[in-house]
Amino acid sequence: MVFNSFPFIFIFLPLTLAGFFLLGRKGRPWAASGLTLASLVFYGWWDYRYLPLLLLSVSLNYWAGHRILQTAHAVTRKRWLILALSINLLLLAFFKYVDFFLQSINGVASQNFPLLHIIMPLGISFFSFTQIAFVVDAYYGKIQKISFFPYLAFATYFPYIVSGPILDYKEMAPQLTAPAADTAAVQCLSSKSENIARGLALFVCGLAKKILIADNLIPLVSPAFSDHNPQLIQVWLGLLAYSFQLYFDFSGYSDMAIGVSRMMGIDIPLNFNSPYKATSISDFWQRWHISLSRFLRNYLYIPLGGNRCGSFNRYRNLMLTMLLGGLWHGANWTFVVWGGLHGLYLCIQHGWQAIRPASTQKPSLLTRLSYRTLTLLAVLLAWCFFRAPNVSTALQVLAGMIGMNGISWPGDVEPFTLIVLAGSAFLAFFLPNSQEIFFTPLPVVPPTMPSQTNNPATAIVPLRWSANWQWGLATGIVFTLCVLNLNRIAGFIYVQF
Amino acid sequence: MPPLPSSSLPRTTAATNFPASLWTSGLTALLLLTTVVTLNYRIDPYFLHQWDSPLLKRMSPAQPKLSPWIKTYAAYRYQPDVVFLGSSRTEIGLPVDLAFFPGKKVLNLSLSGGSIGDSLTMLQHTSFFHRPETIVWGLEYGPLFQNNNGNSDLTPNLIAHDQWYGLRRFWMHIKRTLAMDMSIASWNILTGQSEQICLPIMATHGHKPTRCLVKIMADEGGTAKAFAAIMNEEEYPETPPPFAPVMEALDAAIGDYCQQGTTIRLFIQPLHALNELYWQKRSGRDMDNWKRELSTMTDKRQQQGCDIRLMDFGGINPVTTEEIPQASGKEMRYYWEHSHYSSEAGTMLMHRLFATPQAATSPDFGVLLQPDTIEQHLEQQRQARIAYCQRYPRETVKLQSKVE
Repeated sequence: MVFNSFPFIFIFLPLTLAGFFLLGRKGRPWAASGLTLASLVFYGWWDYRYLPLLLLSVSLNYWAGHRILQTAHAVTRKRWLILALSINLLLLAFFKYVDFFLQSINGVASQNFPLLHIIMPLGISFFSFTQIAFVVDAYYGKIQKISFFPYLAFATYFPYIVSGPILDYKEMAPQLTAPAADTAAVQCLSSKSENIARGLALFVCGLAKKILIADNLIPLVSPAFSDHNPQLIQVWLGLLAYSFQLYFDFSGYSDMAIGVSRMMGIDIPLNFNSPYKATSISDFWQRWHISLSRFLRNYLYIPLGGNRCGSFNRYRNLMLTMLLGGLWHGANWTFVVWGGLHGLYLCIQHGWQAIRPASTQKPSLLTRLSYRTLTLLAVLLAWCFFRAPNVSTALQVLAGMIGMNGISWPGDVEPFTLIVLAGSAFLAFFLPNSQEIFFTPLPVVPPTMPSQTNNPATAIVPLRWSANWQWGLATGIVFTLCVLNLNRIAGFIYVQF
Repeated sequence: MPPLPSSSLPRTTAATNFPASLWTSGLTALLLLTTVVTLNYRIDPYFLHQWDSPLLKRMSPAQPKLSPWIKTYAAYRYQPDVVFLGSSRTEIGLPVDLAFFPGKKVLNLSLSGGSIGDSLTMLQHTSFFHRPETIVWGLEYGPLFQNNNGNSDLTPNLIAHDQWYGLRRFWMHIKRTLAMDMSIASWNILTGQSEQICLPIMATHGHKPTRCLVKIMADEGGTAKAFAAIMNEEEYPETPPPFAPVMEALDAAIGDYCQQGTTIRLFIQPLHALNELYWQKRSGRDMDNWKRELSTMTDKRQQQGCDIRLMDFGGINPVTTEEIPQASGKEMRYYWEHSHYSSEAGTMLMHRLFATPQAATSPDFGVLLQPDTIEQHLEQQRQARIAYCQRYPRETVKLQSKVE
């Protein structure tokens, strides 16, 4: 089941909410149990045959986590950790990468190993990473207590399981096991209304991002990456369109996940913070797919040594982290190149900052604009590999970017699509993002993330959601427009990862 | 570790406004969606649930949308005794002349782009409500002779498999009315901006009206242009799939209907001679084997007492060799273009297929295929193709190089 479908919007979501609130009268654990059931239905709707795999993965991780917490002996704890990590990585490797490795071996060693053509279980990348984080946190003592049913509710939680954000058990567990007095179920009616009103508005915002913006950019994207020798204008239009399609598609999904969670009074991590307003690559990674960045930093970069063992190791760790982060996205060399490019960008940035430390003075508007432009160009270049079906196509597109295949105007571009492209650029560059609009003020701003006040672009059109009839009307109209476009379903891009 | 920004928020003031905001959103959406559903369902711009209503007098655009929706719904409501199956050739070429089948309900269930798999699906669907007494089935060698779905709009949910079909269709129609394209089409009808070219397809029992074809051909650049495509070998890029598995499915279905006493009339579509040459050049032997297999299959069923006939209207005959228009764009009598024949040719075909008294007026159009005469027929066709190429060297220059 997908968020942008009739069954989800008109049947599954209302029934789940009703069940959640009814069961919640008995306490949050009851509500969490109802939620688990709903999550299993949600997952099984795609293909019920993969439910046992999900449940097996959840049970094994819970068991390992439980054993780690129960054992004081360091070596035994480590063995359980290694076992859990191995299971997760093996599952991921088998379902996601086995054909890729076979293909690579066939290509490099001129072998002819038959491919297995395994169907990748939906969301395996997300529930595997979420659970890896859980067992690692259990090992390091960041989790003190677990019980099975809240863990099951956490690991199968339907808003995240298909496309994230990658969850943190430490943040989720208190919300699923809270005593009855704190639960949304016994909140006063107005508080519940607040959650539903705000969550619904955010859900509709995400739906609109996906259906009204991202899906309408597809006609510009496909030709740039499927035509032979695409020309300059076609490539630039296609690449820009893809950048916005990906952003509005994925951040739309995240908004819907956060919105649905908010309706139930559950907070899940933010995943985007206006990434195309970034002024450097490290800034970009603090704004793009934030939950993955956090995972890679905490569970890969820092365990590798982070920046603690000298410059060389730091650059090596950055490259390794980004290469593996790229590979996580899919079993294709294009993702490895994409990750490698971002690793390289980060190394260059850190190298530059080592040579020329940042000034304490606030940079001028022109300087900030030039930083943003440079960052955007670097990101666009990397998207080229991210989107292309193979490296040779990506190189063709790169050749097109610099006009090596000619520059003529593509004949089949609809004016409407160009309007959507211009509109999406305006939204991404100049408007506040959905979290800034719907959660005022931005809730928790870590030191690494620029706050709104440091970000001049967000102030151009200061939009803030509030509970009034105007916003209610706008939400109703936008929702209607989305529903009227639901018959042209295009899958979420990140579902395939 | 710095905490990740989460979606948690401080509880805000003015909480009393939240229910009002929620109600406004809900009521706005409900009002708008109800209006759209009511409007689109009443106007029904694509004629999705019009099978026998006054709305069928409203003129429609030349290209009907969602034909499989229209035809599966009509089959459910109309429950025909006689059905025509096949691709767009049958949909365009075979008019539903009720005089052929007095007192019977006839429906042309052919679909544009319809494969054998699609025809079988349509047959299964209509039989769920009422088993047809007569099946008229147009067959053609090429990419549509396959089990896979040919018309992408023919989705499994349109096909009946339980007693809840009517209810499900109603829900599907309500869902389909909630669409921007349909709303725009309704708006265009209300404001008089919609294209009014021809009668909707169900007004002629599933046969595409001639006036629609006139407009479509004009938009496509005319008959001469369409023939240029086949002469320059620009049609059908793909290789035909192997026909053996399809033949098996076809045989099984025919066997099933034969047992129930259904009258079956199979025919090989009268594609223009240039089209025949095209396929002969690409896979002549395979095409001949295909005809042999069809005749063997039909003969086997006849031996079992089935009322079944197979006629070959393709190849080289007085209808298929009609002179093609030159650049001046003269229209043709029997063809819209090389693969779609006119209702006039279709009517002649029906007379021959059902051996009516008028069949005598076109004795050389259509040959009964039987195992004991097929080799002779194929040899005659080979000779006829050579003669045709000699008679029309310019038209066949690219198609005759490997003909024989």
